[in-house]
Amino acid sequence: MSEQYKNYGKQDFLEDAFFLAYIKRTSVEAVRFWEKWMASSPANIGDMQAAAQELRVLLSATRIYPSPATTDEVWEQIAGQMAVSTMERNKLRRIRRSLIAAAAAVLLFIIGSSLFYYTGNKTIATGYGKTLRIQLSDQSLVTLNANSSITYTRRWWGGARREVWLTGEAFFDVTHLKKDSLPVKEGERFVVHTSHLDVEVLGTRFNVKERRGVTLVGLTTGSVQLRWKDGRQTMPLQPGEQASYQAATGEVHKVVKDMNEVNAWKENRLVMNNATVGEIIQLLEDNYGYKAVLEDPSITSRKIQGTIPVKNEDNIIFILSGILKVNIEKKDSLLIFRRAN
Amino acid sequence: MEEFAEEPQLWRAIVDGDEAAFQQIYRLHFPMLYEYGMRLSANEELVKESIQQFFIKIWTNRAGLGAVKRIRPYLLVSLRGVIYNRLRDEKRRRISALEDDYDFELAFSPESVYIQKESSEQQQQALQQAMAQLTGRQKEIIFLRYYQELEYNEIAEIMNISVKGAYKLTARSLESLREILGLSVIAVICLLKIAASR
Repeated sequence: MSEQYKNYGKQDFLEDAFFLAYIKRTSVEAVRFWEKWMASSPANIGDMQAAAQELRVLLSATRIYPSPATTDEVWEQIAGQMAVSTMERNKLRRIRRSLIAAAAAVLLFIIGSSLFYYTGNKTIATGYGKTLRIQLSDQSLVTLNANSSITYTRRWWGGARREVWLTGEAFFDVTHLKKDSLPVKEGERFVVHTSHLDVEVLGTRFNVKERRGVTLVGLTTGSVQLRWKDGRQTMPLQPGEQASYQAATGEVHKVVKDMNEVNAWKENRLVMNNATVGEIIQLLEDNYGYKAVLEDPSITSRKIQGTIPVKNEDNIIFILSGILKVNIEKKDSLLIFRRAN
Repeated sequence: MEEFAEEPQLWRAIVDGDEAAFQQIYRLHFPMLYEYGMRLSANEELVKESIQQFFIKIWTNRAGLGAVKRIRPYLLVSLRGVIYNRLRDEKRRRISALEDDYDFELAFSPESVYIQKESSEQQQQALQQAMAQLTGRQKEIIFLRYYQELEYNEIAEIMNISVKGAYKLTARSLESLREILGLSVIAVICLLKIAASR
């Protein structure tokens, strides 16, 4: 093997793959051979060293390597398209058929979801201490009090009766759809369903509250008809009247009431006109989720007058403690009413 | 550089539709193709897309792969074609213009060979500037010949020149390099001597 290199010139070394492997150090065999060859002091060692120097310059550029992430990324792209091209070859017809099926499915989905959108029901619930205003598809406005929920149809169609289902308390401002003097049509009615009675209206403003087995309906303007679920009776209401129904006893009362007081919660106020402390504590429990603990239970029958802004519950508690002359301690969801020292 | 021993076998497997073999071929050659691509065009996205594009083409047309004799030159020539078409489309230049005048990124650092200790920035710059006088074609042929160790007939095919032309171009490239080096190295050595004598 050594023989042939004796007559090598610089150019020959430059073109020799085995010599290049030595310079690049890609072959142990080549490195061993050329080191031994150099040690034997051949006549053309000068040419060999010049070629080595030149090759080292040629190979001195910094190499560029892809990151493993890049290698994987490009392969993912290729693999993805390979799958497509394989399918194209073998399953073109099947794909065309499944495409049609997919298109049909998409179309069905669109029809279904728009049907759902236009006829489906939606439920909105409020947490403690939060109120919410909702506009229904007939432009009627609902103000939902805290700790309450309402279910309504996303969109009512012309002929259908407008119906909503309520738990808790809400104020309704119902759009009057009846524009003629003909008998009332179904689509002109608006019904609020509660557990025990339905409130039927054409277009009015009224408050419905159902808490602790007591249903209260207070009418501000227009007229409403109350209809009990068991079908046993109906009762009309005049503006300024509030009906109350006790589920446990079946008692029905109708009283004239200041609707500003009934509806005050909408404006974040609490109007107390001869209200008992017990009633106020119930409000705090219903709307803010507190549980009241009374050191002196007799205070529940005390009556108070006045208006409390209820922007936040701390405010109510502070004012209440001032009015009642008690210390109210807040502990998580507990309100502890202590005698003032 | 020798072809990988198992390569012809893998290649035949691809013809038969073996996806695992195809991925192996990809992983064996991606680093080489990536480097070559990045030297032809510094645009990494373009390089990645080009490699992707022609690998998909290989897979789609795998039935005709039997005719390929050596894989590496085949892959390199394919990639070069794709990148050039893309560059041409991008720059709206004619093919001939591209073939004659293009850049090939290959920054030699002879100072690392001639000057053992850290050379000054000034010296490095002088050498780099001198090296920049090499044309894209000269640098590409050096890369294919000495980095990729391709045969002259393979280089000729990739660079779309005759085999004789490939020999000539290599010789001329080395000649230019020697000239540049000769002048620069003398200059650098002078600089070093001046620095040492102070």
